[in-house]
Amino acid sequence: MPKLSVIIAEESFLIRKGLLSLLLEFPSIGRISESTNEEALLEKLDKEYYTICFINPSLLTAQGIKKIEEKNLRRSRVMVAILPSGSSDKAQMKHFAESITLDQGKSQLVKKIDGLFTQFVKSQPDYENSSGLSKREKIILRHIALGYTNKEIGEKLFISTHTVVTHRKNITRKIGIKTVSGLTVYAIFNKIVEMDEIRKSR
Amino acid sequence: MADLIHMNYLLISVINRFGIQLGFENKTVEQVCKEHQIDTRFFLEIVNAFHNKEYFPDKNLQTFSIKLIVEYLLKTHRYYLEEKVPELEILIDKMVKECYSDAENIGVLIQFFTEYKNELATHTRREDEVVFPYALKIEEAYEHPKNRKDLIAELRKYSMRDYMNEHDNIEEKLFDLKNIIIKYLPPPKNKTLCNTVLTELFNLEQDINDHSRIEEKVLAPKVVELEKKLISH
Repeated sequence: MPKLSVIIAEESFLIRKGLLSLLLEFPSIGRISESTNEEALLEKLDKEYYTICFINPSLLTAQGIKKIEEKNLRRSRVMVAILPSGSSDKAQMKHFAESITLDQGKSQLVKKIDGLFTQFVKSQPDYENSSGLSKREKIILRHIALGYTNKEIGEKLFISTHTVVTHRKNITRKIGIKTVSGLTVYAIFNKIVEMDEIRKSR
Repeated sequence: MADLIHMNYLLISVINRFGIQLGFENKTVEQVCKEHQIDTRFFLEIVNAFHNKEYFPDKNLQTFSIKLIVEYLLKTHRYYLEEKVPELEILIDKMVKECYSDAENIGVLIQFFTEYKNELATHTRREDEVVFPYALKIEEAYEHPKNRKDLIAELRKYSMRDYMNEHDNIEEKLFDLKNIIIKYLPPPKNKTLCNTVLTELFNLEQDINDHSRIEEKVLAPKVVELEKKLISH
């Protein structure tokens, strides 16, 4: 499963760090970013994609909300409001899918966040097949194991080097192995390539 | 000193590097350090940095001489190449032979580890032969301004910045190896052996990470600072 990235936008240091330390306990979260104001938040959202955004609504201006919603049209993010104790600000909530409040206990928060993840992961198209490699990826992996460079693979398969790189990134993400030697070992174990073929090609 | 090991047993390998062996009775850290002629302050900073990632006293560590830091780093290199890696090599060899049948091609793991070993050896050799002597020379020139001229010329050719840029990631292969064992090996015939290998790999990885941190966050900035001072003189 791909790791999720999260951004927290909250002015209060204590709340930000508190939420951060809670989120760090979730193994499915890969990257967590923080910002303390709207400007910094928008800048970060521009640069990188975050799956889940925990935002204190009081940081946002009407203009900021509009900008975020425009971004969400292109690629959706799960918007979660950080609300004060006991609050359920109806007017603000129409921009957010979910909310957490400051008076919630750990178990409530964990349940909520777990729910968000499951919801998101299930909505992903390659959810069912995330650990197995596609046919195309296996072919690419075979070539990597045989010692071809990205450029050579591209030429052999009539695709651009850029596409080869994308495939490689996906392979690494799926099986969790980065180096060429590691990929080769994986390919041999899974009979994508034979030992003899590797010996001959080198 | 015994409390130290009770708190974090991984420190055993660190104290060994300082030449300290087990069996220190109720002696304090200071007493043991004195016996072995180790700078107590330096010892404590290294141990703390190793034990707790958050506690990273780069400021404190930078007050120590380059010579002291390099000595420690050299010892660590030797520990990897002469103790840890050969130990792991034997373990992995044993694991492959005892846990799996030939048909499963697990033998490539041995080859994979040999590649890693060579990579690590090349990496440390370069540091031992080029980077560390360079760092020592810089310190020497800073303290004894005799031969500064030649050195400054040399410094313009190769500086610590180049080293920092080329300091490559030797942990990647180790990480892959762990993942292969965790995720992709068939169930082993000898579980204990397989678990030992994995635990050792985790320990080595943590150790190397800590080691790189000292190289990148303590040694390198310190040398860069001296370089600047030398040039501005």
